[in-house]
Amino acid sequence: MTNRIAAIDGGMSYHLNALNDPEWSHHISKRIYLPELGEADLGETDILIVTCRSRADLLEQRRDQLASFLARGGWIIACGETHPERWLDDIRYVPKDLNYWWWLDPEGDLGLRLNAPDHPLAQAIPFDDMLWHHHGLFMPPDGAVSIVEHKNGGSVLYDYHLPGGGQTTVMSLDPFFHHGSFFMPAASRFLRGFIPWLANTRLSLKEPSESLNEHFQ
Amino acid sequence: MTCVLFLYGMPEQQRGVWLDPAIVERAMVADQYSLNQSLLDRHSAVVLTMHNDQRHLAAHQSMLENYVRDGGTLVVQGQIAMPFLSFLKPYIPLCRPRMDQLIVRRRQAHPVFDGFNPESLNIRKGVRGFYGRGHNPPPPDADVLQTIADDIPLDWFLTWGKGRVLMHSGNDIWGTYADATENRRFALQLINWCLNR
Repeated sequence: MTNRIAAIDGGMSYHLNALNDPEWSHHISKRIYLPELGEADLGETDILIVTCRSRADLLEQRRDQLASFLARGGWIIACGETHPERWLDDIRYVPKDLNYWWWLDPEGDLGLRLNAPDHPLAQAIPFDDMLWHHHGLFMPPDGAVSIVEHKNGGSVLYDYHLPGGGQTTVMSLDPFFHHGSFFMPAASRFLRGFIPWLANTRLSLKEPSESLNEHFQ
Repeated sequence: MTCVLFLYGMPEQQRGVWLDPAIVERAMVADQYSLNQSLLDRHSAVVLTMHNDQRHLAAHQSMLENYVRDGGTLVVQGQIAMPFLSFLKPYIPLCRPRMDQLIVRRRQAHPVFDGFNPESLNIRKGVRGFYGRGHNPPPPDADVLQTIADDIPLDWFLTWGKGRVLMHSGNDIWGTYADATENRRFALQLINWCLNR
């Protein structure tokens, strides 16, 4: 059985183009229009993709809803430029100046290194397909697996199983923006590996957190 | 009624050129979700962005069309994925363009582009394609202003009813250059054209 994936659709051209792509649209069982997130039922959703550049001010208003989703074992994918430090707990992020021309230099180095080659996500997406640019660096919480790091420290892609249940995969890479803007072949290849992996990977089921148990008592 | 309205798609867009004093005195910046008839009535021109929620614009199609038909100026930027005006069609990207196909050619003079070398528009730090890499197809009666790949209409102008529409089928023009001064000049020329009728 494949995982039930919901994706945030902010109505921007790049969200519409990327989510409509027939190569993987069948993996996305639910699209949630961001201004209507508050009314959305996430009860049948395993994974929520917060697509690149989804408005942080609107997500911020749904902080409790997203926390509840995690607390019942949900998995949130926070893509680049969504500023999850504003709508998820325990996110530390430092934006960085964008270097989009590094690849023009034959000796150019974006500075990113594969830190966890055995992580299933790193197995699903070739490292070269994670390299176009990044928008900033995260300081992952204790217990997180930093999959791609900058050589000077900080992570651009990490995976974290929250102690209370739930999972977050946080990145400063923006594949939905670039694929949906027809502007970055590596971003398209990233999604070609990423979305089927999300659909088919085995979920690590956890007991609901104490806070959720309290909620039901 | 002589002020331009920039309807941003993301709050971060309130920065940059929109804080420049010369632009502040000519343009008002507002969240697209605050769009209503009263807001339109107070502005003679509306500037849209590549980051707009096109679902929301489509929900306001009649309001926007009446605004242009009655004499308003509308600047549309970005890639059309959900046509929100009756004369818009979905964006068509160039298929694996060669670098030389991304050079912009001017086909008709226009005040917004005056003083900018078209060959400088689509290259930033050596990377081509920010300004445009495809097109939103124009209606038959539009005037094509700039093209890529020889004859692909990247930028076009349309008189519609009593109003005007300027289409730029690419990234927002105030992000064209690496140099902030050039971007400011570009934005100011756009605003001034909006105000000059």
